[in-house]
Amino acid sequence: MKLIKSLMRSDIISMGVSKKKLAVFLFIIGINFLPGLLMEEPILVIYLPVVAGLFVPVMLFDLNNNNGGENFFSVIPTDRKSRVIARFLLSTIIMTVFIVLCFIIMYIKNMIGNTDVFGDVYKTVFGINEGGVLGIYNIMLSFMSAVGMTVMSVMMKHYFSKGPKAKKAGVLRIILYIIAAYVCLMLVSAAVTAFFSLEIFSLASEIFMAVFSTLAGPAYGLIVTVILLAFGYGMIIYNGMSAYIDYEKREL
Amino acid sequence: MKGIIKKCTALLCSACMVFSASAMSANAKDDAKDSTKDERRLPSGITYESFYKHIEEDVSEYGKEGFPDMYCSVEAIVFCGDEIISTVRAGEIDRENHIPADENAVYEWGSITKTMVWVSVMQLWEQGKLDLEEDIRTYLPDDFFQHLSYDEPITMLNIMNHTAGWGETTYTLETADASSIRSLEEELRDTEPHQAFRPGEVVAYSNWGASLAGYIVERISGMSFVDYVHKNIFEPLGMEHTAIAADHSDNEFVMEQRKLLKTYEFDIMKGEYSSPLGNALYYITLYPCGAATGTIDDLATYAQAFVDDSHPLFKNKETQEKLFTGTVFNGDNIYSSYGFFASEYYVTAFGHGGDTVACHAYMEFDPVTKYGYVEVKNSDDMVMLFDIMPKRVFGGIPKERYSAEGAEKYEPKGYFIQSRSQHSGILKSLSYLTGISADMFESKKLDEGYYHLDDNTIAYVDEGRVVETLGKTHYSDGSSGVRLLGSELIPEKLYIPKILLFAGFFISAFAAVFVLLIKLKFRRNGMMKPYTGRAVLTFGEFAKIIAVFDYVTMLALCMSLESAGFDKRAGTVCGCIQIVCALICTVSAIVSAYGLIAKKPETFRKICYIGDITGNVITVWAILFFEMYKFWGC
Repeated sequence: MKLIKSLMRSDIISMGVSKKKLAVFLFIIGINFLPGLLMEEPILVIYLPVVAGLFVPVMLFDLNNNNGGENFFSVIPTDRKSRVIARFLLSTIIMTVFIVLCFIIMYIKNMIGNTDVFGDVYKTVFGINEGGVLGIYNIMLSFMSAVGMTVMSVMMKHYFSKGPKAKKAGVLRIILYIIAAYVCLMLVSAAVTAFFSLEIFSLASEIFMAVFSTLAGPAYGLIVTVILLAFGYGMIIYNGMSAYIDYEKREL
Repeated sequence: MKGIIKKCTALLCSACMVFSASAMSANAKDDAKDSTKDERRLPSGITYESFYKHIEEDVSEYGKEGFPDMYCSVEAIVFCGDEIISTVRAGEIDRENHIPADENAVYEWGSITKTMVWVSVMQLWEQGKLDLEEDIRTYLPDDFFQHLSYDEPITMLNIMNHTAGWGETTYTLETADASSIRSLEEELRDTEPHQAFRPGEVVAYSNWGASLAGYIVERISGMSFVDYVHKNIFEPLGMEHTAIAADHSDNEFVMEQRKLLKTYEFDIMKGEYSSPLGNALYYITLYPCGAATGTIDDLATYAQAFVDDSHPLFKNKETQEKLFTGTVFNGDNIYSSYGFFASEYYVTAFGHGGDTVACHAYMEFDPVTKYGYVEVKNSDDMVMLFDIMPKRVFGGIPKERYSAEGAEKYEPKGYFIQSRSQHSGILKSLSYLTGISADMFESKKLDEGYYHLDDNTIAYVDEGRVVETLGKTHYSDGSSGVRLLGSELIPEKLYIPKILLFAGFFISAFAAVFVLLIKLKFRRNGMMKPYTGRAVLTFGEFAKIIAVFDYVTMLALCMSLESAGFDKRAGTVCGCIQIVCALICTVSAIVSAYGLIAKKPETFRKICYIGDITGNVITVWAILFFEMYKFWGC
C-alpha cells in the first residue's frame, strides 16, 4: 500500500508539470460549465464526466512522455501490478471527486434556478412533478458518469496494453474525441427514438419504458442512479484487471 | 435542438389544451334540449344555455385542423332525475373500419360494476338476510380464508368501505381465454391476497374484496351473481343492453357489439391515438368487481335509479337514502358511503369510476339535486375530452365553504407507500417501487400547497382557494398518512435502505458479470490459479445474473398488457427460478466463507471471497425480503 501511495503521489506532482494539457482540459470544462451556470440549466453538467473521462488518462500517461517514458519505472523499486493499481486508483479518485462535484452543482442549480427546457418537457408531456424531474436528472448524470468512467478505464487499459505503441493524444485529437462523443450521443438518441417508433419494436419499447420508469421512480431515481454508478466502477475494476493482465504480458 | 424541443412542447401543450376543451368530430351528435329551458341552472350555477354553448364549441373543435388524430370515442349523458339534459356521442369505436360511437356501442364499465355488488348487498340487508356488521365468515364455507393475518372479524361494511385490510392480488384478474374462466368461488380461493392491515383501520381499494361480496350475495340468494343482478337490477330498470358475466355470455347483443370496439391509446412519440391492443378483449375472472359492459344509455338508466324518488332498486325509500349517508369520513366530509365514493363540488356527488384495459367509464350523481353525469370512452388515457365535464355540471368547491387562511402548512417527511399495493407475495417489490416521497406535497408558490384544515383534513390550495380536501389518517404507531381516492399513503420506515437493498440486488448481478469476464480473461491468459470452490462460486455468479433477469421478466410481464398481466403459470416459473438461484447463492456464500476461514488465502483471494459472500448475501436477502420466491401469492 505504501508503494501504491508513493506512485500516486509522484503522478499527482507530475500532473502539475503537464500544464498544456491541463489548460486544455480546464478550457473545455469551462466551455461546458460556464454557460450552464449562467443559464441555470441543471442538465448541462451531464457532459462533464465524459470530458473528464477523456482527459484524465491522457494527462496521466502524458507523464510517461515527459518523464522518460517506461524507463522511469525500471529504475525505481516497483512492480507492474502496483503501477496499474496506482494509476487506476488515482484516476478513479479524480473521477469520483469530479462526479461528486457535478452532482453538487446540479443540485444547487436545480434548487436556485427554474428547470430548463428538458424539465419543462418532462413535466408537461409526461406529467412528472418536480421530484420526478430531479430523478431524471440524477439518472442522466449518473449514466454519463458511468460512460465517463468506462471511457477513462478503457483508455487506461489501452495505454497499459499498447505502451509506446499507443497513439499520443494531442490537443487536437482530444478535442476531436469530445466532438465525436457529442455527435455519437446525438446519433444514439436519434437512433433510439427511431428504433422505438418502429411498429415492430413498439411493444418492446413500451415494456422497456414501463420497467425503466418503475425502477426509476422511487427516491429521485436512487435505484437506477446507484446501479449506473456501480456499473461505472465495475468497468473500472474490470478494465483495471484486464490492464494488469495485458501489462504483465507486455514486453517493455 | 432546444428550439425543436420547445416547438414540440408547445405543439403538444396546445394539443392537450385543445383536446381538453374540445376534440369532437363532425360526426358528433348533440341532442341539446329546447332553448326555452335555458333559464334553468345546473348545480354548478351555469345556465343550460351556457352549458349547451360549451357543448357546441366542443363539437365544432372536434377534429380541428392540425389535430385530427387526437381523439378516441366518447359518449356522455347529463341528466336531472328522469330527464336527459344532454347526450353526446363522438368519434368512432373503430377508426379503421369507421364504426361510429352510437346508441349501439357498448363499453366496459369497469369498477362501476362494484356498485351493483353494493346495491345487491343493500337489497339483501333490506330483506333481513344479511347483517352489515356481522363477521362475513358466517356467510362463507369453513376455512375459506387461508391468508388472514388478524383474528378480528371482517364485516360486510369493512368490505364496502375497502377497509377489510387486503392488499392487491398478486396475479392478474383478467384472461384472454374465455374457456379458462372458472366459478367465482374457485377464482376467489385461488387469488386470495394477503391481509396487510387490521380490519377497519386502513382504506385499501380491493377488487378481491368486492368480488368476495358478490360471492356472498350468491351464497345468500342461492343464485349466481349474474342471475341475481339480472333479476334484481337489470330487469327492474329495463337495462336490456348490459352484461355482467365475465365473458358477456349473459347478453348476446353485448357479446357481439363488444367485438366491434377497439381501444386506443395516445402515442406520445407519434402524437396521435393508435390501437396496438386492438379489441383488447380480456375477461375479468372475478367478474363482480368489474365485468359490467353495456351502452351509455343503460349506464344513465342505472345512475338515474339512484336519484329516482320511486327507489326502483329498493323496497324502501329509507334504504336508498341510507346509501348516501356516509360510512367513511374525512373530518366532517363524507369520503365514501356504502361503497360509493363522494366528491365535493358545490354539491356532494356520489359515484364510481371504472377502468379496464379497453375502456374508461364514470358515473356521478347528486341525490339531492338529482343531477347526474355518466361517461364512457374506449381509452384509459386521462388526456381526454370531458375531464372538465363533472365540474361544469356540479361546480367546484365554493370559496365560502373553506378557508386555509392562517392554516398551518402540511409538511410531511419521509416516504410513503400506498395501501393499495402488493404487500406480500412475488410482487411485493412493487409496493416499494411505487413509493412516494414527501416532496409531492411541497409547493414553491406561496398560495399553493397542502394545508391542515383540522386534525383529520388536509386541503389542497391553488391560488389561495381550496380546491380539494383529503383525509389525514392516524395509525396506532403514532404516524400519520394521507387518504386518497381508494388508497392511503402510509409512512414507510427505512424506505431508503430497502431501496438500496433492491439496488444491491441488481449491482450484485452486474458485479457477477464483471467477475465472470475477468475469470475468462485470466483463464485465456493462463493466469488462473486454482482456488477452493471455484466451480460453486462460478455457479453463484450465474445464479445472481439469472435472478435479476428473472425479476425483470416478472416486471415486464406485469407491465405488458399484451399478456393480460402476470398470471400464475408465469409466477410459478419465475418463483421457482428465484428459489433455485437463492439456494445456489447460499451454497456459494458458504463455500466462500469456508475458503476464507479455513484456507487462509492470499490478499487478492481474500478480497474475492469477501466480495462473493457480500454479493450472495445481498442477493439472497433481497429475494427473501421482497418475497420474489413466493409464487403461491402470499
